[in-house]
Amino acid sequence: MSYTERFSEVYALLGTINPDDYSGEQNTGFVSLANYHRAVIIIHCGVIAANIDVDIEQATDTAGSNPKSLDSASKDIALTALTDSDTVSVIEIRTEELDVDGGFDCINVEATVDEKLQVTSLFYVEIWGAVPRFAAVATTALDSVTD
Amino acid sequence: MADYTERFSEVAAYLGGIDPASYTTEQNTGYVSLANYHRAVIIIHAGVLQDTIDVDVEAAQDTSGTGPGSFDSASKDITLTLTTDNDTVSVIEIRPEELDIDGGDHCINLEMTPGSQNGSIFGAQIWGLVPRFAPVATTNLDSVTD
Repeated sequence: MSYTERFSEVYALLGTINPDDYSGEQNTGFVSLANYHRAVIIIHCGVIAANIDVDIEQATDTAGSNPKSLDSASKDIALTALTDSDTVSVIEIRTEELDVDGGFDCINVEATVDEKLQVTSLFYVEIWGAVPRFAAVATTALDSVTD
Repeated sequence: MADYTERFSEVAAYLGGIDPASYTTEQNTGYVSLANYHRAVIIIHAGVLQDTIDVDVEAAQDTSGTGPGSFDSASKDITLTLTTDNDTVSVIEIRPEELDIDGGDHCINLEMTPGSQNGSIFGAQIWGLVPRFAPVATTNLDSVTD
């Protein structure tokens, strides 16, 4: 990103889990990375009373066809109740890491709050497409851009 | 991020934020220094809002908040409207040259004020961008997964 570029010109908001007190599984829904060379997932926690498992899934379209995990050995993270409250975590994605030969170009972030303790966790998730093929990227997913 | 080979976390520094929760009173990130960044971005992520939220950016000469003043309130301040702006993401772009550099300002604080005692869920992040020195520190992040 150069000094003359706005963040909102080169980073596209592709998907979210909006901030709320959650229990159980939450998903961003599958979003396409076809027009981005990189993506970044930002997970911002408030008070999390239960553990959260964060997994990345890939699919061949935004409807979620042929879903499977994306490099679960290195991409999945676990957020620990209380310990990871009020923190920000980042997951870096290079789109070449998807099963490109198999036609996979979409990802979904699945955040699952452990329900065993019957407590909730407050957090939100954002998926940003980065290093776009075509800039300036659309800002239609944003409520406002103030410059 | 000019380069495909750069991680986001190498060129974007998490400087401060308002952790997501249901708030009824004024919340502040605290002053963070932009001295080592040529740009910054504020990302505001709203959940369910029970009242209007006033969002102001303030500037000061150090991270203790010396000489505080509003920062270009005419163009940088925004208002989030209850219901209408539920579950939305807003972006405020900052070029540090917009601060009163001659007056010594190089720090900013994000202030978000709910309009009443009804709880509104939101969070915010301030990222320093286009750093003078890369890679930037990741010490404010809980984890970076690559």
